[in-house]
Amino acid sequence: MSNAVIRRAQKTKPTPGMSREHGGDTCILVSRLTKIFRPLEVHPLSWPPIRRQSPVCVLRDVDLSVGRGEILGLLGTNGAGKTTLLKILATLILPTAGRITIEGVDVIHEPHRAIQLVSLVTADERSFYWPLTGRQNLEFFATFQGLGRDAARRRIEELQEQLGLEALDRQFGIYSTGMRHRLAIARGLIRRPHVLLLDEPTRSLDPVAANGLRRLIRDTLVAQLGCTVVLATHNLQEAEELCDREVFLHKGRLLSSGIVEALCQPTNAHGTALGDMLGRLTTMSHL
Amino acid sequence: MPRQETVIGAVPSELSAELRKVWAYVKKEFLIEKSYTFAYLFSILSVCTTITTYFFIDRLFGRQITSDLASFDTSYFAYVLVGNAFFAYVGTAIGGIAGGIGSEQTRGTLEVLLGTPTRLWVLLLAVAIWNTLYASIEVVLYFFVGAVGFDVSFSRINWSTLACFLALVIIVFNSMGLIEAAWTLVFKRGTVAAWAFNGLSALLGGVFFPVTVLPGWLQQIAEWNPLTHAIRGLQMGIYQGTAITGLAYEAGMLGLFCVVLVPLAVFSWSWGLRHAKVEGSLCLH
Repeated sequence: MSNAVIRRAQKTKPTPGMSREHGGDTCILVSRLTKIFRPLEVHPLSWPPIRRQSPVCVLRDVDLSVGRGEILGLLGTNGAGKTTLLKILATLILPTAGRITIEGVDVIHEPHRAIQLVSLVTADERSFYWPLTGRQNLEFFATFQGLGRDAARRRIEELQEQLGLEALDRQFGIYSTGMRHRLAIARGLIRRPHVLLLDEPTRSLDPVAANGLRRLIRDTLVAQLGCTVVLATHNLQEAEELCDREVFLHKGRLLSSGIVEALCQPTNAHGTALGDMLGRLTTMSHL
Repeated sequence: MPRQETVIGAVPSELSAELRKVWAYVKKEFLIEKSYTFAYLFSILSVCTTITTYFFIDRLFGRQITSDLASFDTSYFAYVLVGNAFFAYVGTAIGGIAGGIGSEQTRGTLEVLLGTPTRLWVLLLAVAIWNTLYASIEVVLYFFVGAVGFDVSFSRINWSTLACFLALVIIVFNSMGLIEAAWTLVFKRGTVAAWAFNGLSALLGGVFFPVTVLPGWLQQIAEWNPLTHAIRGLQMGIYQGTAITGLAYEAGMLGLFCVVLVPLAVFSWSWGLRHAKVEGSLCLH
């Protein structure tokens, strides 16, 4: 089984991350991106007191391009490197090697210009000030995004309607997980970014809210406002439904489109689930 | 494909937008502080008990003017009141800033803030302003309780000396606080070192007793502690009404610390932030 998958993959042109339909109108261009973490350890009672842990390679030679107005699905298991890739695009992590441009702006050397184009929505719904209300939190982050007071208030009202944000005047600490997550999404959308980076955006949402968010991304952000979206998810069905194109990260490498197509072949009447794909990946030990 | 509207039009100018961020940060911290009313009430109580403790220590020793206090022309209680009041700036700058940055890092909000188009100096200025305001309230409280509750006289204050030393104290200790916060950003733990430094600083800085009480070699070391010069200058300006020209050495030393510490704080932060971005540790849970 695995050999057949590999043979089919080898017949396909190995340019996994390259945009086809948006090739002439590139928004994000990533070339040979590598990230190796070597965290510091402090041992005050031994010598040397500060040491580096053994290196962990999270991304290896990733080449990727995303067309303007495209929705790219970034699929992969836990630890595949999806969040690290998104955080590098959002200027929050510096890569070890490689080059990234967003709308022609070099993300590594001009982070302050790049960050004006990008907004990251993480799956972490705790990153708010808990004693403040949802509205106070949004107003605060809107100010840091550069919005004036009136513009921020108008935008919060729009998002309140679009995302079904209830009880914005209650303390953040008493919100449900779903509401906290919606607030995190609202924070990411508050500035109407050119590029929206979404890290598992529907993870804590109920099906109705998740559908509403998908509609907002597809119909409003992309179709009306021309936003480019990179969506990291475990949910293959969501990716297929929402994205123009999917790429698969595995152990820090972007799999070739041939491997992904082969992995996506249905094995039974229920079609292909991400779990099946991962099962097949484990048989491809050389990857 | 239609393009999205730009937000630049909604902002009057870049500088005013950045200053509004500083204001938003201060307002946010105030609202958070306000939500913990009991904590604030207890800190007021703590100020009152500290002052009362020193009042009775002063009484125990019969309110003598020792030769070490003679140059300040005041009682031990009045001396220690000013020392404790201005030590609040040290406490909130060193430890307070790192604690604030550390909690933003743990909460995940530091990463969110640094993911916005905000210049680093804006965030640092906002943190420093909030800490200074917070410490200033504590200083006013010390003075108020001292004057109203214990009849300490501040009639000879030289306001221009006070303002000048206050500005220098704020710059010096906020710079030290920012250096410590950069350390926290890299090594995750900085407040323990801050406590140790605060204790040493108070011991050598003349907070609880004049530096002249210390042995000669410790006095030499104390000269390299900015708090020593700050406390001496403030005591003289408050109780003797000494003009700034009469405190040129103390002001000059604090100015020297400013010249060294401000660029060091900016450099430390740039280095710490770069390190956190390399390690991916802007957000810690």
